Amino acid sequence: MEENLIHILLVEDDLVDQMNVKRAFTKNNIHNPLVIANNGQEALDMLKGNGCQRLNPIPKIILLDINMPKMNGIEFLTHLRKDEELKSTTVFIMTTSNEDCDRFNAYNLNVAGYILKPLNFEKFVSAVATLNNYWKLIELP
Amino acid sequence: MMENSIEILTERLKRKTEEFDQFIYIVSHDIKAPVRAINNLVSWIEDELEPENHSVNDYFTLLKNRVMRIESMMDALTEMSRIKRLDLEISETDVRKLINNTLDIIPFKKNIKTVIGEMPVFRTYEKKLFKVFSILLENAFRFHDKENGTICINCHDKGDNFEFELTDDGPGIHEDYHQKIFTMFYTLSSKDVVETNGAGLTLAKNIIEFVNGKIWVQSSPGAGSSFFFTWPKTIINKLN
Repeated sequence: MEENLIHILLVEDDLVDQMNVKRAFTKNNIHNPLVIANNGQEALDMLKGNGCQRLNPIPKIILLDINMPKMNGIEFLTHLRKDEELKSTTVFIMTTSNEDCDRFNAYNLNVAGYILKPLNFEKFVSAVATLNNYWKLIELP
Repeated sequence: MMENSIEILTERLKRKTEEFDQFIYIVSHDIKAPVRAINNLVSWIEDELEPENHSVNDYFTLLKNRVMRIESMMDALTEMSRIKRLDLEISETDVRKLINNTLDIIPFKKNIKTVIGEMPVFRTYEKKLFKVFSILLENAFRFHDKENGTICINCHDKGDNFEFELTDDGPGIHEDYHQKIFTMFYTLSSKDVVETNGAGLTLAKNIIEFVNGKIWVQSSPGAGSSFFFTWPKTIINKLN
């Protein structure tokens, strides 16, 4: 059963936000393996195997923060969409940024959804439950 | 020559105001991330705590409430900094409909009647006018202190402007505070008694001044309050 679950990559620099996603997974009984990268550059290296072991299997879904050190979410997305192997990855933005330009840029780079991180943990748990229902429903490439 | 230096100063002032708005926006936005983290950590500690300890539970309730308050104040600052650049679409606005839409989303369940007089239909910043009405009406509901109440909303034609009037039969405001209530985060009752961030009227005032209108209050304790504001019939396009 477990081996059929798609792997998910979380790109997030804030430790508490990383824990937030892990806790929301636990609360919703989501057992998909969750890999964490601390910024866009680290995520790209992990996906390409640059200077580290390449992720295997390659995560089909990425949860992506926007404001991060080194390489931010939008820059990461730009690289991802140019990469033949990775360009079809389903990406959800999870951010606090309510800036129109971030939203605009993200959708132009074909994100599956743009989610504003709610302040309250319960709301976040239900947002993650919705995401889980979504990726259980759809057929990925 | 003189005119030239005024132009330079005006330009400089405009740029400074823009920088200031940008500064407020960044600060209020970036502070929200650690605030959210605190909020998460608090609810996780609460989750894993023994439920018997009542005083600790009370402290947690207060702590979460204060975190919410920071967040709400930050949101207000963000909103304030965006008045000049957001919601600038001008559309045909039916003010009666707009007021009714506002009333639909008021989060208070109080037995308060609203009486709406004759209202204009005109082209304006609909979202901005909506915001002003929702702030004033929410306040009238929030601070109302009696079992039953009435809010009357009227509009007077003042040539180039409409003058809107919202009169309630709530507690009223002493003359000493008629100016102060428009100050950012200022509240008349403790924020523990009536939950509010104290930013509403400041936001309303800023929006109204953005369209070159004015807002003022007539009120005395025990006699209800009347809030008046003027709103131009024609919006001069600010984008240029």
